[in-house]
Amino acid sequence: MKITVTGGKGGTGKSTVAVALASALAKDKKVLLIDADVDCPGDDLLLGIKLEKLADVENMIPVFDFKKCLKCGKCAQFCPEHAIVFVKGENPIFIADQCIGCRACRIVCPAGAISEAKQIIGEIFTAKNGNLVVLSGKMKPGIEESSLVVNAMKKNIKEQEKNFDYIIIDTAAGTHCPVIAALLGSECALAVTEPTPLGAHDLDLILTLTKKLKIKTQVVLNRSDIGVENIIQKVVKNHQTKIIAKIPYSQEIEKKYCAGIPIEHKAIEKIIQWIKK
Amino acid sequence: MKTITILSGKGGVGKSTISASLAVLLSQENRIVTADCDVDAANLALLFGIKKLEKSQKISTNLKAFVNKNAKDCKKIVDNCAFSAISWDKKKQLPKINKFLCEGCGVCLILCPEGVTLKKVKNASIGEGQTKYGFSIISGQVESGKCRERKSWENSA
Repeated sequence: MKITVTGGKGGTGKSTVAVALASALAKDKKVLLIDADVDCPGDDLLLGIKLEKLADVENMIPVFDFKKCLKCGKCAQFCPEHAIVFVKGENPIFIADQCIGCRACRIVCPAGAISEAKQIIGEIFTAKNGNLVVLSGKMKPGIEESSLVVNAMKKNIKEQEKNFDYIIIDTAAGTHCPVIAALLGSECALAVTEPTPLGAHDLDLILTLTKKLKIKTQVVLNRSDIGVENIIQKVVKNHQTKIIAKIPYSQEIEKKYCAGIPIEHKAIEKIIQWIKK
Repeated sequence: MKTITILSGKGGVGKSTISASLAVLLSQENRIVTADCDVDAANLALLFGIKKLEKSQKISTNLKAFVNKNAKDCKKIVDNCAFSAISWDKKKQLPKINKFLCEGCGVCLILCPEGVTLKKVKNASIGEGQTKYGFSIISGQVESGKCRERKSWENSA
């Protein structure tokens, strides 16, 4: 069973909930925790574990053979990302960081002057802690398409999926490409939010997204006692879902967070009850 | 003119809070404008007490591929999609495009010009509002389920 932990706004406690949930489930089940916040992963820090490198994530980039190049400019014309700059009479100039690896240039080149090479756009790390296996993706800074690393991670575990009882996926903040890539294929999702107008605004966005993706989503309200809960209730009601668990603000939780110890709270137990149903 | 960017890797650390305070203070002696480039979930306007932006303009920063029945001979576009956005619909004997995964790169159109069309989709909006502090805010927002956030903020900036 795949459960994605997301939320829209940053810093609401997505990783805290994902890590606590994975650790609690791993007491008697086999659990895989995927840190899909590949721009700024941090689940390893919250678990207090050390990751080891598993693989590089590679992307196709074109290699130009200027001896064959007709200087026609077709590659630049068809490049959807403007990663190829062409000036009449000159060799095309390639900007690797802009390239998304779609191969359009290679396909349209009439002279066969473009071949393929690979560039490393990210890395995948792993760690094992009893019943819990962690997989963490890390994007190379400056690369744009973080969803490529998320997808590479999902591909990497495709064959091992059946070895786990639960797969918990921790997403980045926001509601777009890398978050969508993480959500696709999940049975259900948890949206972690906070009782502030900003939390409510972004919760509305993420619940709109999960509705479009047809993924059943429940809400976890973090720092539930410091803020205005009714604005969250309004959004939750509009989307016909529920606040499944509340985590109050507490120094004890904060201390654990800083020490890299997963929190234990009755809110996490409530989430587990829902998942097991 | 000076352009100041407020950024951080981690979420929820107070980027918008600092931006808003800085803007209000700077506006007391300078002419300023603010831009919310967090187009995934733009909410700087909320911190200025603006619930809805007045002027809002829909923009397109993305293309999406669509197949028609002439694509029945174009099974090859399935394997050539670098984003795994195309599968083969056995029932209809046609390629099927997952609109959430399609990057609009156009490779399928190149390989199957008869069976694929590439259409601009209105995937984002740019709004403008006037704050009670006397300066304006420009805010970009990508629609939920749509990608290409970078280009949206380039437009709003």
